[in-house]
Amino acid sequence: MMATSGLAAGSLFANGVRAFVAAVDRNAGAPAAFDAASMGRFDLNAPPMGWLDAGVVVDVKRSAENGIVPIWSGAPATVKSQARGKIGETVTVTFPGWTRVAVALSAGTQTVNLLRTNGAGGVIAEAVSGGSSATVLQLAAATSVQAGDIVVVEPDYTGATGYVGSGIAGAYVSTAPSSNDQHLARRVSFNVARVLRVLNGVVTLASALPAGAPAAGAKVSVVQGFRDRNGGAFLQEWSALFVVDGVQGDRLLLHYPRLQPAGEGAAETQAVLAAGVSRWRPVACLRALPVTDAMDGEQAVCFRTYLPAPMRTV
Amino acid sequence: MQQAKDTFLVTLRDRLAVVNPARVVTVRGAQRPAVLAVENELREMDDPAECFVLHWLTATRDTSEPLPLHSMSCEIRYAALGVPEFSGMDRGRVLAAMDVELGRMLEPRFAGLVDYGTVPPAAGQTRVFWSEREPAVITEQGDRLHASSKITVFALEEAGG
Repeated sequence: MMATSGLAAGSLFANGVRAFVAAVDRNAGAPAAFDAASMGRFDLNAPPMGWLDAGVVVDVKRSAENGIVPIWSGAPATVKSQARGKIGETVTVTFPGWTRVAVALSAGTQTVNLLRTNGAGGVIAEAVSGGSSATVLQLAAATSVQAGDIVVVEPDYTGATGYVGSGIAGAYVSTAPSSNDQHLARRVSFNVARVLRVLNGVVTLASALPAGAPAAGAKVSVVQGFRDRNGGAFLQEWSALFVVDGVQGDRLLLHYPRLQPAGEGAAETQAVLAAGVSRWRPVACLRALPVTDAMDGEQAVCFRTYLPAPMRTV
Repeated sequence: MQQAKDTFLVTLRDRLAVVNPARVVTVRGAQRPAVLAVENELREMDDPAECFVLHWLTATRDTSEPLPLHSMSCEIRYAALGVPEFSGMDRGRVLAAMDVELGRMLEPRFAGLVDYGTVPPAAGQTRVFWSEREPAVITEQGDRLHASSKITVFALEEAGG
């Protein structure tokens, strides 16, 4: 039926919430770019450059800490005006999958890739040759990397201070270590991917490395798992997008330019599905930090965008 | 999710062959370990005695997982007549022995998913897993002693599953 006038705007009916995260440039203090006007309708299966798909998430809860306080005056006192005393917000989110990003977000602090060792306990790191890309690594024909492995790709750590990790900062070194761990960058890096197949040293990855083509001098190690710790001073910082796609064609976006961990460290939920069967999921509790809105110079911690369905009243 | 149901049935059948090789049933002329799924047998067949019979009940599909999680309630029924030499006076003991066997067949509470709809059967990449048993309900029906216990079987939906 052809509509000649708009339908009444209604509730947003949705099936799930998709989360996307991106690295904050810690050296520049710059969040990942996201412009809802030009990028808001992006294909959820092809997020904008630099944004990582964190999957479908559940139990997204926003807790605003905005202190809008009344200003009382007169006798008897009445509210003459209101003022915003503080701007703050925390957001908690539960991830269905134990991915590298989910583990990191739920931990808040530094997370470590457990690197495969040889029989003597030394970490195995293989040099990446020229001609490699974000999805294909050129290794020696006798590589120990196998299909199904998770690999991390980073150059050796050389003792420099500052943030460590290609693309996404995984740790911060404040003072040069007296004893250098050449594998430090590979331990803390988010530049990981699953190996799809290996043929004569040509390693094809199931997804593109987040940092793109390997840097000069990059080496590959196999990741056995991910570990975080309740402790340490490093605080991760992410930009995040939560996208709620309405079945009628509308879309709600929650854009947090800067999120840092809140709460009390690594957390997970445990739900009993049946007698003797429980489901464990990582839970992230994050605090939104402010950015300055270029439009008017005001500070804000979250931007909510609603993109209406076609032909709806406004 | 047929693959999960088939995997659960074959797992119990194979485990019973180890736990008690003598516990067999003859169905349509073929002898096999005494585990059946009633939906795989002739409609008019009654549950045979001293055999574990699976009745699939409710099924749900949880799409909050990246791979949808299926959960299926399964009632496992078994009954004992006892041996004629004792005029059935040992049927309680037989039922108790079957209860112990079932407990051992259900452990460990997981098995690799297998697609038995192909020749040869194809191993999947995930595992089927199941809950602990609910306490068995025991009833008397004529000369039979019946037991019934429910569990929930879970399986992730693999592509094509």
